[in-house]
Amino acid sequence: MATIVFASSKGGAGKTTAAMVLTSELARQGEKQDINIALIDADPNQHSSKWALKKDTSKNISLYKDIEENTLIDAIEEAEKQSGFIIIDLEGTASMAVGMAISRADLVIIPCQGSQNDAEEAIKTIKNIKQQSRAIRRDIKYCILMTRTSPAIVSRGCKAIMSEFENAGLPLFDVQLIDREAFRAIRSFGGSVNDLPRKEVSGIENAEKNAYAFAAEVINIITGKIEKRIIKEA
Amino acid sequence: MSNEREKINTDLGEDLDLGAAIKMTEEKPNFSQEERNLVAETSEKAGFPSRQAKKVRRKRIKSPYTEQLGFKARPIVKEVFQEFSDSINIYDYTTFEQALIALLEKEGRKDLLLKLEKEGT
Repeated sequence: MATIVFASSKGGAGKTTAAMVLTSELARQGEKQDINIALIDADPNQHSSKWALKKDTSKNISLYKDIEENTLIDAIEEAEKQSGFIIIDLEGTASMAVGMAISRADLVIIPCQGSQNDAEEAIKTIKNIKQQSRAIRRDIKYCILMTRTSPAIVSRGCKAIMSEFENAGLPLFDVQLIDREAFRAIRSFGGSVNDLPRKEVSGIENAEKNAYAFAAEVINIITGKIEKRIIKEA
Repeated sequence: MSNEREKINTDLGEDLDLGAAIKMTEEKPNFSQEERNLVAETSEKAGFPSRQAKKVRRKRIKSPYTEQLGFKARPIVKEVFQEFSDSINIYDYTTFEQALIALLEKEGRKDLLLKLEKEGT
């Protein structure tokens, strides 16, 4: 099983959207391969649970909702026995639940918008990953995902932040999660971007390609095909 | 004929090999209590403290005065009894109890005084 955690101590970084996009794409792919995806919603706002409970959402998604700090590790351990992939959506705060989820992760995805605040909180999360990795003596892969970026122009601020990450040797996804109406729409309609009503939502085709590319890069990181981008803990 | 535009097949023709990703990840044994404590401690040190709402059970103070004791008295006894209680600002049950203790002491009934002290809290 592969446990993937979406973590950032800042709210609004794009954790839930990215978690829903990845969960739906993996579930879509998993249907053909008979693979179940567990979605653990440890955010008190329960936005990803509300999405998962909508009628169009895949049947091969097992939802663990209302998970709190003191039940998180038990939920992850149980999900690891039942599902091929475990996706964990966390609250945007520096809480112990973040550390607990990280300690079970095969990959931590750190969503980050092109803002100084997001970048600072991403670094804080990376420090936590490094400390957990040292404490439990296991390599924990992590990668920063730029979210809500513009499809047309990359702002100067965003460019500067990405360049600072790269100069610091921090791993960045090649794929960015573009700010798309389709990604917002799956919260209302449920399911994946592929299931959206084409007459009502624009830019679905590009969103589908974006979701696929994101999931493909996640798989490549986990399988080690792009290991050079990931810094391993000694 | 439906007005809805035909769905474009954007399946990129390549299924992601989810099975390979699952195989590549190591089996992680369940955490022991010591490992859970270590993770919690590390989180705390990293500036990620517990945000779990502590369930504080408020301990309700229970009155030891639970038994009903009713008896008839002469009207004047009742009046004096209540007047005395009022004068030293205590409840009737406290007056009764203190009067009983004073009587037991006067009669030298250490056994009953001890019983009262032992079981009366």
